[in-house]
Amino acid sequence: MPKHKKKSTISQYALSGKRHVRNLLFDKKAVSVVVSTIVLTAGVLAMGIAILYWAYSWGNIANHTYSTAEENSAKAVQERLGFEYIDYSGNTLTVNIINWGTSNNVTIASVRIYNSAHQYLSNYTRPTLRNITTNAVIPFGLPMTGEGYFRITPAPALGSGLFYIQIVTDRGRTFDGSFATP
Amino acid sequence: MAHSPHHSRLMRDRRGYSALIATIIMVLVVMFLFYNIYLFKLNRDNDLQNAVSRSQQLDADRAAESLKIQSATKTGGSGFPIVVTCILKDDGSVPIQVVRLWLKDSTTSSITAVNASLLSQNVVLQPGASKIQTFTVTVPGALSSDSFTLTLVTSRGNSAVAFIY
Repeated sequence: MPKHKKKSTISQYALSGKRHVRNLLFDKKAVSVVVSTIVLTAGVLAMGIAILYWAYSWGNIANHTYSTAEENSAKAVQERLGFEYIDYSGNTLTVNIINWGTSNNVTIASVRIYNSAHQYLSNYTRPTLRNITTNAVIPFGLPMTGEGYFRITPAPALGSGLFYIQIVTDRGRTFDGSFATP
Repeated sequence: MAHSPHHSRLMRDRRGYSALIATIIMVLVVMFLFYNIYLFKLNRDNDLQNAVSRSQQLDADRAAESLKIQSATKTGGSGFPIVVTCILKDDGSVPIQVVRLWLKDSTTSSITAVNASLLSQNVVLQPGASKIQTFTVTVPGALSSDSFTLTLVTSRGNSAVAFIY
């Protein structure tokens, strides 16, 4: 191939390439499609992330609520209180109890007293639990195998006879005992 | 072998594919979510069932516990500590640990009941076993002639009562 012929072919290619690039730069056809696709994709992605985050948050809340409810139920099921010794003197009822279950921090919501015919007499809310040995206040409920006592002053005063006592814990369990007054 | 025109058109026609793929993906996602939620609930229910089983076992153990106090005698009083000696017998089918003693002066009602923790003494009885046990308790104001009510509390919340004359 002659030298001048080869030169002209190269220049033709360069010219064509330049024209092609110029066309590509100034041709606005289909740009709107690209832009709309980008905008649509960005919108869908943003919505998707937002919905994912929203669903994740709700899932987390539901998970936490369900787990807490089930854990509380399990703890309530394993709560056990035993009556060690109940003493009534000077219109003060001293109730000594032991936590023999496998739930920690058993707290007392209320105490109810019934007469021998199981008729309701009185109700006492949140009596102060104390350690049997040290008399120190037990702030967070009875631990496992823990022993404690509380005192209430029945109003009206209890007569002589048999009485029933019912302890209601904060987790909703009830424990019944009985005692006799002189 | 040449295909029929209908078959060829069916093979070439891509319309409706996206709906099909989307449906398959949606079903897979729903199944994945359902499986996870089901598994989570199953685990939680298992935990609760285990807790129920444990608590039933607690009740069964407590019901099987039987502590007997035999031949309870006392010395002391009138300024001296009361020394109670008795035979403890495990009549049940589970081991027993006695955790607390309560002693009430039955003669003088004004004397309040005293208690003592027995955790340090480690009073443990195996099923069918019996042992002689001595407890020393200070009861202020009690006379040597007074009679007492002895209550022993087990770790399962059961009580055994004996009268000492």
